Amino acid sequence: MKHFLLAMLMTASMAWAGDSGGQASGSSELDAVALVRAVETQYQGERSHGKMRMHIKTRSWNRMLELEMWSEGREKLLTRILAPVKERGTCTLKVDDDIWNYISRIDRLIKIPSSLMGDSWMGSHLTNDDLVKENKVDKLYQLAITERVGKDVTITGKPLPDAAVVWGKIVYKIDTASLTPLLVEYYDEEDVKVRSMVFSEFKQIEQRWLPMIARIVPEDKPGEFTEMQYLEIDFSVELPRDLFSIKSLRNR
Amino acid sequence: MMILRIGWRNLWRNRRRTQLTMGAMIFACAMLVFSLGYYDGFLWSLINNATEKENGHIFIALPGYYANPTLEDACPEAISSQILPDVKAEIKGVCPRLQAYALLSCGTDEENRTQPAQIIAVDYQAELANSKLAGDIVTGGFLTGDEREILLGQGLARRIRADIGSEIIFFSNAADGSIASEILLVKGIFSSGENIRDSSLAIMNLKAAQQLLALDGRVHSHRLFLRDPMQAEEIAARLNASLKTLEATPWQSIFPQIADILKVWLGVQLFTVAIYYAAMALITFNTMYMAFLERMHEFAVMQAIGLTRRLLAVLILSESIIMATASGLIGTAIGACANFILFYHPIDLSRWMESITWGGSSIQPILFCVPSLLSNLLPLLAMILLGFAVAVLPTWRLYRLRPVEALREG
Repeated sequence: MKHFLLAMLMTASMAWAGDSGGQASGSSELDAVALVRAVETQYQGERSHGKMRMHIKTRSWNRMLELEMWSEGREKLLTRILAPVKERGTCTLKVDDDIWNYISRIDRLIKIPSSLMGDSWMGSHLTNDDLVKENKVDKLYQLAITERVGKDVTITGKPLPDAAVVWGKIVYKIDTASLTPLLVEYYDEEDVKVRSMVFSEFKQIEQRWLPMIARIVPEDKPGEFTEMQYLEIDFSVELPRDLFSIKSLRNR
Repeated sequence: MMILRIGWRNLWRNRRRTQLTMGAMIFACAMLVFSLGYYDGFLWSLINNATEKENGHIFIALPGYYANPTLEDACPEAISSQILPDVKAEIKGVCPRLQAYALLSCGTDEENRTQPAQIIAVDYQAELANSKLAGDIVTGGFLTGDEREILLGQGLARRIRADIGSEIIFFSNAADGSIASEILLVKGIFSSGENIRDSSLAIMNLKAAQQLLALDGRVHSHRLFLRDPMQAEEIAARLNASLKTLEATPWQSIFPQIADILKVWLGVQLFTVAIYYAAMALITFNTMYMAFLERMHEFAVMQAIGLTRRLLAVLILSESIIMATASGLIGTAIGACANFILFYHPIDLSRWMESITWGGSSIQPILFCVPSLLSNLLPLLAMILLGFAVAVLPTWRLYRLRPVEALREG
């Protein structure tokens, strides 16, 4: 994954990639191929570095996190908490399918077991699975264009028979003019909507259109949300070679 | 009185026959007292295993917490002021607890082993006084109040390769959403006999967990231990009338299958008595009837010299009842002794048998008996009734006895 927000954008872009994999039919396949390449070109920088504010609201608490993030390709991600002070320095490292948490307060490292991929990431409405699986949507879901209204396209993704996935269905709405995602909806196996992600505040950065805010809303918990907002993002950054390593976590 | 004396003397005129009959009756009575004590012990173990390690006899928490526990739904640690004095008198002890889920990790870097675990945070002094948690420790010791100590289930310790003194990393989310992390040291490893529980459970000190999870002065539940667990439903109803924002749930509602067994327990005991004594009645009746037939000539002579049929009937009845009562008393004494011994010194059979989880509780391979007035009196009374019952037919035959014919046949 790239940044969380970027991850969601990439999820949307990979929906197009899946569509291009021969799952969709006829002209929509051609449209999908063209669009996905355009979306990928737009969002997939080789490397990135940015800062983000994460606002988590649950029925019991309301908290803000400030995060610094680095990414390389789709497989490597490193985040570090900047605020609040109590949690400053806590890092998450994702390399391929593995996730590590470094807890600065006690100077210890924990590898997240695969059985806990569905658990909340840092108390937010994001899961560890969101960090790992977002770049595999095309391999895990059968995608098809199901609706076109003007420049907005709706893509529906259903799990492939052998895919080990959490969701029963994913629905994307994408603005084909700016190549930006507008909405992602997640459904369970009984086709009940479980979670929505709404993108907003689109801004052009280095010739790329990016939504600056993504809000995740769990459908079964009224009033709760996790909102992620880019404070800064840089796609033309040089990163140290060993940045995405366990060793580097302690040096952050 | 004279009839009783004659009856007693008659019993010992054929010593071997009486000894054999009484031996069988004593054995049956002792076995029955023991069996009923064992059944009671089994039921008590089932209730205790369900209540004394987990939820207590009454579980007090915020409404809905038991069905859907969440970290944030915590209640005040001090609830004493909300409990009426007459209810307090029924309470033996209170164990406040926190419950959370966390990642527990052991080892460094590549050797790091992490497992999700259910965390129970306890007031170690209250648990020592009331619950049986401390009895499950198989290696190391129980909590002593040190902030950094943790107890691991045997399966969990194996999974993360932890041993006594190992450093365990606790990682979770606190109730305020912040990251809760701490380094804890393994103080003890426990085995409750339930593999699933032991593979996922860790126990730590309440104060440490309160600080770690941002729940100072709050707990998730209060587990009440009563002087009489059978009163849980009634006391829970009285508590619910006085508790303002909390909900009291008796163990019968938490373990309905066990509560259902209790409802039919007396019936089961009576059925057991009936089965035992049906077999016993046949043996005893056979012995007594044979003795009666042997003594037909003697009864005819007694009638001929003037003893009335009524007195003869009373004699037969008194012989039978004396034998049954004496056997019942001796058998009950033997059975009760066995029950008392196994009550204070249960025999652990876990080397040869494994525990079984049922109805939310566990059935442990332990030979344990609970002596009760009912389990002692029921076999004794039944034995006396048996003595009466087996004498009815001979008495009836005696009423119809014609002395001349009996003397001629004899």
